[in-house]
Amino acid sequence: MPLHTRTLLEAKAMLAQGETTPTALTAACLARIAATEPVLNACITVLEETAMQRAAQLEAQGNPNNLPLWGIPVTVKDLLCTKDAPTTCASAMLAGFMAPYDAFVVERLREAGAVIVAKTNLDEFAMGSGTESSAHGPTCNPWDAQRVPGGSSGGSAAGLAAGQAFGSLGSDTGGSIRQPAALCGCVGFKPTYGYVSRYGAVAYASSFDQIGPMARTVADCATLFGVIAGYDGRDATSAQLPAPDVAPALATKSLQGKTFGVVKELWEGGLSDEVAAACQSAVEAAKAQGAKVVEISLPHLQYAVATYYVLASAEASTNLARFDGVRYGLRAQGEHDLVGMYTASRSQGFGEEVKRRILLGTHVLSSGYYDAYFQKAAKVRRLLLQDFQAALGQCDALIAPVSPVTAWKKGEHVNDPLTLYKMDMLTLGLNLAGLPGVSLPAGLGAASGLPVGVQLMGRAFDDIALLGMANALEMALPRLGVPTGIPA
Amino acid sequence: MAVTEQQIRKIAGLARIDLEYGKTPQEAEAFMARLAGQMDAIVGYIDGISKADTAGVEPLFCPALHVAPPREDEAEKKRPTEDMLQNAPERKDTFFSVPPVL
Amino acid sequence: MPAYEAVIGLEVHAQLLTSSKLFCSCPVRFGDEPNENICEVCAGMPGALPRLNKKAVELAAKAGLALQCTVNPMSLFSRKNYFYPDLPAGFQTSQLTPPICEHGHLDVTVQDATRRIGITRIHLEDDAGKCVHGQGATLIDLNRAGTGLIEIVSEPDIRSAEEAAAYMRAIHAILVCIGATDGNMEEGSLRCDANVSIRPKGSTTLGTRTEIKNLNSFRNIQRAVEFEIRRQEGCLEDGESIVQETRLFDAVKQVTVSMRSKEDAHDYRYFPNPDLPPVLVLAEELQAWEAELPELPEARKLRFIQRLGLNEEEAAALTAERATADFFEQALALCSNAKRVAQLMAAEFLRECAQQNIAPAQAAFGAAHVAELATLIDEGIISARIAHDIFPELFASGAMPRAFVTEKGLVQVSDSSELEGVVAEVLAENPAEVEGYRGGKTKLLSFFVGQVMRKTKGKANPALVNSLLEESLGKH
Repeated sequence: MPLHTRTLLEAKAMLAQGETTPTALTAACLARIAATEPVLNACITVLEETAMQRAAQLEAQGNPNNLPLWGIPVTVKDLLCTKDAPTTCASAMLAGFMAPYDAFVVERLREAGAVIVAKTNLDEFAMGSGTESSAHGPTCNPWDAQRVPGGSSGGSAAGLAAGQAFGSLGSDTGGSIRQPAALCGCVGFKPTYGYVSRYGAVAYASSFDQIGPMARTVADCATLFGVIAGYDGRDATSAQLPAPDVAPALATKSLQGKTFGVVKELWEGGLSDEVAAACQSAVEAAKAQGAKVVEISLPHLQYAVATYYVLASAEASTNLARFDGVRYGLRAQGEHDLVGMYTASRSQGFGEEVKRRILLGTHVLSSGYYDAYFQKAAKVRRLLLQDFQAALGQCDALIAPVSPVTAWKKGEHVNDPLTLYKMDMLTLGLNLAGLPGVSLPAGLGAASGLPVGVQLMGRAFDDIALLGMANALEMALPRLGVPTGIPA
Repeated sequence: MAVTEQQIRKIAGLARIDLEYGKTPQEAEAFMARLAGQMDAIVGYIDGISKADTAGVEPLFCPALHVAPPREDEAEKKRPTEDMLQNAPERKDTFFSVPPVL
Repeated sequence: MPAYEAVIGLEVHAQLLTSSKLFCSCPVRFGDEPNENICEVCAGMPGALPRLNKKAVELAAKAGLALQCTVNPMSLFSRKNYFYPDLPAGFQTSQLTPPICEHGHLDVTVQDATRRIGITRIHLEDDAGKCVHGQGATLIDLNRAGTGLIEIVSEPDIRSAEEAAAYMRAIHAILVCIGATDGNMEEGSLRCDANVSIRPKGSTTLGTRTEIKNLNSFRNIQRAVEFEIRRQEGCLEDGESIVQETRLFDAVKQVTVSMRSKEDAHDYRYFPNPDLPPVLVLAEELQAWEAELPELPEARKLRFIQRLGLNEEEAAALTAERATADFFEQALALCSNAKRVAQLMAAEFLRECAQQNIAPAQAAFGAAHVAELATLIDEGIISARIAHDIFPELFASGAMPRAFVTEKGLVQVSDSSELEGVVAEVLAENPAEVEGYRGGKTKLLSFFVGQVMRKTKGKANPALVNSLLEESLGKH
């Protein structure tokens, strides 16, 4: 069995047994990256040299302190700031940008002994669901290179499915961890808002963004979560809680005594037959594991997409105001006055989708529209949170599909942003409410043969219990096998 | 509420974006027409929230919970100046430099 | 021509006296190399997040308490969006609604008339950096960016330029007294914008207003507002209308000039900053802060007048700055003659401080020196005149007064047998004046006193000289 197909916990056990070494694992991942990148384009920066140096250094030190990720190669989405490699957000605006500091989660990875092998591709500034709007070019789906990997953490998801690393960190603003995990056939976990510090994650929409782990199994995700979660004094929205103990999640093997809520609005309309069928069989699998299933309604979910695009775009429009060509980033040449320089730099530096969201966000905040859009949406957001709270008062987790369809063909929706926005309907409600959600493979679509994901959604800061339920459900779901669109 | 091309231009101005930047007049015209169509569809869609009954509902701006109180007033120079200036497109000594404000 | 009345409101910006910036731990320090004190937060780097400084909240709340405001248990930070190179994030983080403090007031006295000026609100916000506009380029220094400010917005209750300056003086005294700001106006720690309009006397509607930006001295506030009122009166008299606009005060030419029209005003797109949770002020915190507030300048002045018998001018001079009043009370602990200490401070000490440009607390001549000097006068060891003459030397050297006067032989002559001889000498040398005095020109007494003083080099006890002279001149 090739090293790169192991799970993170398997690799960890092999390291502990002396069956492999940090340099061997790192070399295997780098080799896998070299072999698959010509097809996938999942990485923006590959850190061959620093990764091998780091692995050798860790190897020399040994693991006397039992670092939880000692010698484990991982990737991070290229919107997490790193001191030793460019942070580009897949934007021409930040080509070559060197952050003067490491993101909190990157610090945590390093402290835990991880080896960062690459920074992964994404939709520009995480705005998108297909990793098509990247200035670095689109990432392809390892199951079918003609198709998108989902997004915005598409590079992380595609890379994991292809064995480029044992785990990755992505960010989820409206589904950007869960949906690409579903479309590529891996596991993605969006923690409760505030459980993981956002310090050093380049902001798209501050009250939605959440950093989370992605991996090939729930247990691997839980292990990464244990490393990155916990209070950070530099993020004022960080919850004052210690890093959680993930052992109970790994030990949960049954759903006996648990109640799952099937959110009827998330199963109605728009689902392709194969997605509905695969997710239905996941519900049956949950029952087989002992779960009781009830039907639940979230009456305000019909407004979720509109609410999300108002609020997230508004926040984005001002989060991206700092990209002005003054202190860093792209500066257009040949402009002789300040306003000309601003306008030319921003017009050149941002891609079309980013501009569209800046325009929408500027519009909903502008004089005369604030009350009708921004203020109104913030109120609907409260109603939606109350819906979720009521639903989660009646059951332990909600279960739903992640994406209405399996991976679509690249370019298919390029000129129809609204259709793409509406496809986020299954994921973004959770971000509005700030709750945790985990996406795991439900099986392959009967028609397309492409991965289908199913998600569980839980109560605020009940992340470990949610991961435990996902762990138990995963045991009853079919294995997907090896992706078919890349070199073996 | 429909959005017109003129409105889009005004919003873009506020956001310091020139939508026609680097385009020929023909390209710009086609692009603006397409963008106006997209924006109109999006804005038409988000108008749907007006139907939600939000009477007496407090807005929710951020779902953060268990947040810490403000930090203590302790000063610390965290970053070497050179690290902060390394990405500057243009600088003079340790100043950032930009074209003149007209 | 109708008589006009001015309607003025001030927006005062005060830099908070904290060690670190409002949202990051960079030091608040000026005069360093450009961009020495910046980090990813205050330089608006990608991924950076703000974390509020607790001390800034405390100082803003204390300012609110001192200005009789309600301190809101919950206030919110918003983003005020606009592009300028000294504003690294592309927005200023400020408070729109609700601000930390609201609904206060301040009583201001001008020429014995006291008027109450309403305070609409006090809010917290971060300062911008500095632009240096040069030939062909603008240079940016972000050391100041992110420094904590409070903005104190008054109601349009001020009616004259003099009152505007008096209001600013009172705000300055209070904020410095409670330690909210260092109050250094030359360095821009305290500055204000003035909104000025005029209307016919008796009218209750507001005229079109102009805003004069960035006034950074009491004198400039008064001059700028005075000019602006006259300018607006001139406009109306010439049948012109007043344009709503922002104006700048040219301190050299003593005029205000139009900066830009408000018509192209920004659309600031305020909305609650999602990176910052609501600012909570707990009742216990507020109580503790209130208990920590020092006696405010106005209350202290009244106490000095009512309890210590000082007059208005003395009390005003001693309470203009908290350090001076503290100094005075330290001296008072060592010498109980408040009037004497106050006179010495007002007439000698503060004058000397001003001349030498030394803060009272920094002078080599301390509270113990003032107290000892006052005691020397009280004990009749030296006269007030001698005290005046030797003061500059004492102030400069920091010598203890008692040792100084002994060493210099300045101890007053209070021995009547010694003085009787001098008096006799003076009367003998000036027979014509003696004749005149005895003929009814009693005003000549001071002439004789002066002569005795000259002969004794000012050391004679004046009261004793008076009585000896009167006695001798009365004898025939």
